[in-house]
Parts: sequence; structure tokens; C-alpha cells
Amino acid sequence: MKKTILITYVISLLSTIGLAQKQITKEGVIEIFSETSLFTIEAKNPKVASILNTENGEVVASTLVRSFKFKEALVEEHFNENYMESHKFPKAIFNGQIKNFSDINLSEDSTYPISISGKLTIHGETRDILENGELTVKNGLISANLTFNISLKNYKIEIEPNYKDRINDLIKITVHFDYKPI
Amino acid sequence: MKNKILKTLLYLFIAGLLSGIGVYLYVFHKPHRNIAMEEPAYILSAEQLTNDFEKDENSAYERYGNKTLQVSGIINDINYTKNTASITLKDGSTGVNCSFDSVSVAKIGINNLKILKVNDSVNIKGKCDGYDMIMGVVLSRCHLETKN
Repeated sequence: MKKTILITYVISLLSTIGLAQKQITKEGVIEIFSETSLFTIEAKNPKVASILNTENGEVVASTLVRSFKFKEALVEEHFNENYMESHKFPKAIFNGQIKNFSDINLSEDSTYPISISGKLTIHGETRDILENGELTVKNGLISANLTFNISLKNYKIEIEPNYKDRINDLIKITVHFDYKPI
Repeated sequence: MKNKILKTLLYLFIAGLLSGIGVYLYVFHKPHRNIAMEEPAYILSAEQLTNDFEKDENSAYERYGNKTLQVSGIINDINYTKNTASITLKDGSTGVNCSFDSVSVAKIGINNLKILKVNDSVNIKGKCDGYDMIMGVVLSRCHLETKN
């Protein structure tokens, strides 16, 4: 009996330590941007969830495709129905790691360059990515900023031939997360 | 006589032009869905909505995805930014995450949102974006129906 209590105690202690080593956000922001001489497309998604393991730099981030909000309702409809097919693939997910996380001193307020690698799943297609960004530490709280391009072709998102001059194959993705301890 | 025909033609032309502009605006710049005015497809509790997604995510997404839902529940958490707000309705592990964009905040009035407190019971209408492991069920373009 005593042993059971002890084991339970140790497990709960371990899990609290485990929790303390993670930071989370449910209000992360991702913006997408495409520009051609004919047409500019931009959208903002303020509902991105992410968890950062401050022990080893592991990162997960996920969001719902339908949470991308456009100025024009028609563009939003086309984005969901024709391109992202959000009825079939409702989510976008990233699973990876900050490679140089050991260089970051979480007790010193500063901005650190980071290199992050992992698997990005969009439109049901998973690709390996390796991108550079920035991590800012302020009073023990971490924020991450990342800007990179993805190719629509790479994720099997097709553009009809007569829209090719309106939608750039390279879409600029801007990511901003403000993490908080769990 | 000739003048009259010209005048009629001119009126017809203007009428045609105006309806053309109207159709163009409606087709290419149609407004976003006005969730506040829409009849909800389902009226249910936050608990039931979350349970449905946790039990079978795909069939729940098929049923609720992109639909207007009216959800009742107890407030677990409120977050404000400059001109947006987000309210999480309590229940078990994940809950229902309701986001109010700047347009809906302006419609409801930030002060009507700011009087809400944790443990208040509310009815919120919003469009269902789906379910996420961390955020729970996400409703967007939300509208505050009633505070009980």
C-alpha cells in the first residue's frame, strides 16, 4: 500500500516537473501572403496552438485551415474549397525541433537566432522543412518569430492555369508565437 | 421624339450599368457570413460538442465543420488583445475555444465582453472551424448571444 502511494507520488512529482518544462500558446498567429502583379492575397490566422519543450527545444504547432481569415469572403471560400480542400484536410501541423536550442540561455533576456527543422503537414502532404527564425526571451517568457516561403506545388495544391498569373506558387508564411508557462 | 428615345436609352444604359456594378460587387466582393444573423444549425452544450469531437473527430467535423453553432457553457478563461477577444468554455480536458474578431467585438461592444467573468454561464454563436488537440473545438467570428 505504502509502495503504491510512493509510486503515485513520484509519478505526480515527475509529471509536474515535466509540465514546468513546457511553454504553450493557444493564440499564436500565422499570416500568409502571395503577391503577383495582378493580385495580392493575404490572410491571418490568430488561432494557432503550439507547445515548446524548454528542456530540449522540441516544438509542436497546429492550426485549423478554416481559421485563416481573409478580407474578401470569396477568396476565403476559394482558399478553403478549391485549394486547401479544408473539408478533407482540416488541419495544418508542424512537428519539429529548434536545432541550436542549447545555445539559448533562458535566464538571459535577449534575441537569439534559431534554426528549426521538422515535418510540416499541409493539405495532407508532409514535407521536411529547415528554416531560420528568431527567439526572444523576456523575463523567462519566450516568443518566436519565423518567416519562410512554401511552394504550393510541393504540397500538391493546384492552381488552375488561368489563375497562375494571380496566385504566386511561393507563399510567404509569417509566424508569431508568444509562449506562456503551462 | 428622337430625344425621348435617346433619354429612354440613356436610362436603360444607366440601369444596366448599376445592376452590373451590383452583381459585380455581390459576386466578387460579397460580404462575410453574418453569424449574428444566422440561424444556428445546431444548438448544444460545450460538453456535448467536445464529446462528439473526442469520440469521432471525422464524423463530428463532417457534421459541424463550417456550420453555425450555438453553444452554451461555463467560461473557463478569457483573453483580450487590442481589439479581439477569446473565450474558452469549460469542460474536461480541452473545451470550446471561441474567438471574437475585431468586427464581432465592435458589434457586441468591448464593454459587454469585458463584464464577463470566469464561471459565468453564456450562450455563444460561432462558425465551427474544427477540432484541435490543444485548443479543443474552435469557433470563429463569434457572437455573444446571452449571458445567463
